[in-house]
Amino acid sequence: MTAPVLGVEGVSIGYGGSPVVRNVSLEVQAGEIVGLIGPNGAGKSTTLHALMGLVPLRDGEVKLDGRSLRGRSPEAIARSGMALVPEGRRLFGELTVEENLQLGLAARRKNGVAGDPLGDAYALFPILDEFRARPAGVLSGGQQQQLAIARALVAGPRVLLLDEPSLGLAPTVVDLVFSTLGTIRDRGLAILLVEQRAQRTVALADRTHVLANGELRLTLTPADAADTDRMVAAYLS
Amino acid sequence: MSTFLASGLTDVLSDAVDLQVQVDAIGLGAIFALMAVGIGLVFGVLRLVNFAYGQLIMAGAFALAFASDRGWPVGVGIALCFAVVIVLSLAMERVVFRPLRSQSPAVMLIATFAVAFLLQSIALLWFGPLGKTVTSLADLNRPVTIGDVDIRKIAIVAIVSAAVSLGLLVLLLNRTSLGLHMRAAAMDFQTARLVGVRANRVSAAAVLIAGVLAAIVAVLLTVQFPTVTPTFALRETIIVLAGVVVGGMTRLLSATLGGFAIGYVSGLLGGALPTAQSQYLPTFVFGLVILVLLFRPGGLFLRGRAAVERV
Repeated sequence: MTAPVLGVEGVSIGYGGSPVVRNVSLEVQAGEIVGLIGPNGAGKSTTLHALMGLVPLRDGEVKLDGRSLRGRSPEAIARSGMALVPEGRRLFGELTVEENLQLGLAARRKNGVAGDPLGDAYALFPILDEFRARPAGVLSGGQQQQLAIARALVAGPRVLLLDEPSLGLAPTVVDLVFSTLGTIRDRGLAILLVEQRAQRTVALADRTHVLANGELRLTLTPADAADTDRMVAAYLS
Repeated sequence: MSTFLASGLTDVLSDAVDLQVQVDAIGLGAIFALMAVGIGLVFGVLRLVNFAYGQLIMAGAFALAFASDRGWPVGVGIALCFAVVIVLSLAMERVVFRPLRSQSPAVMLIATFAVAFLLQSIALLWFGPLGKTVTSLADLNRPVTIGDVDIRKIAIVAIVSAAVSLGLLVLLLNRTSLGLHMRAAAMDFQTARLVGVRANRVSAAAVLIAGVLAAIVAVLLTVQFPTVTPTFALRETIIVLAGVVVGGMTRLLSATLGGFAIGYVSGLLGGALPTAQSQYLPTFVFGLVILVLLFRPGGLFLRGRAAVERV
């Protein structure tokens, strides 16, 4: 088995007293979606923030293509090939759609993937092409989520981290987001998906870890998607 | 008494519409607008009110005085002024602003106070309390006659310099990737870093541009006030800071307009007030500032946004 694109090895994260996340290990290969589900406050978003260098690790290692990211700044991690689609999208509302996408180019490595990243983003999300001159702040929630994913993709990342991309979206838009994630996986990206929609995540992801009280409790496969009782039991344990 | 006041007010108003006074006021407004942009740009990106901005201008003015003392050509003096201000700005960013970037605005404000007093004290030790005089640029104080109005050359130079500088800054912010990164960092610094914008690069760029503007202001102010002392530009910086808050600090445009407005009003009152009463100029200016802030605490040129909360 080849080295994972993203390797999280025995990571503990804490802001002060006791750690919020304890001894979490997981890995994501190229062309894989790994889900991370769990109740509110389980430490899912904290884990993603730590992977991006926003929160220091108390223990353990995060590796991208086998290289440790310890001590690197968020922008250095973004430039080394990790992109985050943050919770709440965090677009630059006063900038246009196109300017938001151009900002995504900031993390694009000089020897990275060749081609026309903005053109590719518009091909993947045609609505963004139509609204490219509009301020991002006036787009609908679904359109903003597409823009947030597109902004992450134009950087040409090796790993895509998503923090609750379906939050607050209409069911039809959720369908679009999940089917787009499938398309992105087929392009060879390694995807770590943090979600509240447990069943859909388990069905889509190659495997899904359940995080509760800061610890990984269980790993589920798509075959478990229908077995919601087992998932609920894992949440409550 | 009331007749005296009424006739005094009429004189002031008739002086205020005098074209010469108007041009001088616009010239002063232009210089203050440049200072406001320098302060506003650093505030936008770093959320830092740089109280030491006036001391950068003072250092540039001393560089001009130093060159003028030795009889160096004007061009060399101006180059020295730019070099001193830019090096000091970048050193300030590297040594003070960058390590304190994650601290609270209050900590950073106090740190800039410390830098301001440090620079002022160094100037006091090197050049003494009486300072030095810049004579090399005195020619710019002479008037040119346009129509039947005498206008000082410095007013025209100030207006043109400010217009060109602000035009170039607008192009930089709107047409380059560095400008886009700076605008993004000003809106949401953490998200900008998450998408790969280099925090150190944008903060250094903001401080560098502010430094270039401070150097331009140093040249323009030394023409108006040729005696350079350790407190040079201090009063102007305080007035511009008030102007920036009055205009609306969270937006570069409103901050710039605030700086221009307070410079223009200062110039107008300075030209219109009788010489014996000119010491009351700051009283009038800050009286106006208090009035504006009472009615528009969010900023004169901002709509519906609380601007003062970050100060």
